[in-house]
Amino acid sequence: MRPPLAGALALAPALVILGLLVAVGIGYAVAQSLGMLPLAGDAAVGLDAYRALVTGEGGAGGVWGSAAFTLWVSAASTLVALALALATAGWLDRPAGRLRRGATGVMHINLAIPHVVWAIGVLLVLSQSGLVARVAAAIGVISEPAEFPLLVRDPLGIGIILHYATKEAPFLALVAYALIRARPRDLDSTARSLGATGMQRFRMLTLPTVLPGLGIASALVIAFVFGAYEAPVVLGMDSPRMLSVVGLDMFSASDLTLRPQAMALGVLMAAVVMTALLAALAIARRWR
Amino acid sequence: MAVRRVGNTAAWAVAVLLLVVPIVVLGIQALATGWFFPQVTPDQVGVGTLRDVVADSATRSAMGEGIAVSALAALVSLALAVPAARALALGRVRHRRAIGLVLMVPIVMPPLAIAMGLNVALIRAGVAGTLAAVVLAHQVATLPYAILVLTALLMRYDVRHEQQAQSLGAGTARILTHVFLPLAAPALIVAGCITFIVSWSQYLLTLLPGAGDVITPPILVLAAASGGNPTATAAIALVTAIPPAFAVLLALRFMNAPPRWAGASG
Repeated sequence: MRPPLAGALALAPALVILGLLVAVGIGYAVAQSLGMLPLAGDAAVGLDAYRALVTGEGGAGGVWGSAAFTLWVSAASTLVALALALATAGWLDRPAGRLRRGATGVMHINLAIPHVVWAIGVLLVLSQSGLVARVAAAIGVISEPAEFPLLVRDPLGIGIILHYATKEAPFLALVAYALIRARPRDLDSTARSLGATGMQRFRMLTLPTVLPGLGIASALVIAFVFGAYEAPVVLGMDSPRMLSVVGLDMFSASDLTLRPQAMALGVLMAAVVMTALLAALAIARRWR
Repeated sequence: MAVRRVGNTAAWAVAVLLLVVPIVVLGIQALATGWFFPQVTPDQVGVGTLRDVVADSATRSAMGEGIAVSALAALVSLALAVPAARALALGRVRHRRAIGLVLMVPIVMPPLAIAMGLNVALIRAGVAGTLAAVVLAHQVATLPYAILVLTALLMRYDVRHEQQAQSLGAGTARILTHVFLPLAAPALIVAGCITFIVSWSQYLLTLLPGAGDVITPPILVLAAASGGNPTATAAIALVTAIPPAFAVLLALRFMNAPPRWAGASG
């Protein structure tokens, strides 16, 4: 007896809705980027918007700088988040205590906090008149805000990177924790009773358990940061800006000729992410 | 051994501080009336600004619209995810890998790339700026998560309960309402909470399909952040964090409880 409502057709409604939303969203972006469906005037179909976007003529400017900045911020945030998650994974891979239950609870709550809210919190802690600067002033390290290093709205995107590193590290740590819990339980105590040191247990038990899943989860994080908007608005400066910030600015500019370029940027960002996803999957398959 | 334990505890203190301090500072800032450099603690605290923000009609309307959008987005996602997750977890579906890839696409896609095109399409259809348009657009973010979470939770569901009901003559509808729903209720609550949380934090997929007419709390926070009143901004941000915090606590309650179907099979 087959369970009801579990045939392949049961997948259809969800997949059709998702497919339609993505196809319509990207489809209209492609159409407007090619000059179809103009907001004003006649349609002039062609690659003008893409040309203007990559050469920096016609208002977009500096899109290559934004692209490089976006890649740097995505990669750096993901690496720091991954390092933090791995640093906690060894600790998570041990018999449960009350402390750990509390810590994983805090991580779950952190996960639920909207990015805009977290970004405001990071700003209040790290800005030149923020909490850390005030503590530094209180212990006499600095005497005025300008002496505190620029950690938010800075040219290297440190504020944005710290935002995503602290917001995504709990996500990665919880992925690691889920993988550890899915593994046979007594491995850690067995290794311990056989005399394995902490470092050996981490290298030979924890890492092989968590690395494959963390690879996939890190790919999600890097793609997410690549398309991020809210934290870069709160914690970034006017130049360089992340790509989504540039894109929405062009999209909502009063100069309607920028609209096709905004769409072209969206299409290119989608293309970059899809190419990276397919490449990552191909590499993962070869490794197996 | 003792040294290592101290080291571990210190590492954990740092990690938890990293996760807690920004929110604690946000809470203090929301209560501070005048908190300037180099004061480490505010001179005066009071609930005045927080009360004003909560009483403000813009906040109330945004909270109302946000809760309506996210609750509806979660319900729509659950309705679509239940058959999909049943097929993936209980049925014999081929091409699982391809389906998993298709579910990844909306998750990794930059929201801006989809939201701009949806804005144009929804305006042409004459529905941009409605709650329904935003609920629909949010499915891009919420539906894949609902399916993935529910599939993972249903992997441990014992389908023999349904077979027993079937052999006793129950039809599909009765099996779903009398066996599946009661047994899977905790899983559905967990998936619903996570979906609500994902929907609640959406920004671009609210702003563009909402065409400026649907204002949810995250949109208010970002608007406030460009103004110059840190206490008001922190107060709005704090209020914005409350519904998803409740949702995650509810999800944790049901996540840690043993599933109702465990140990009852046979």
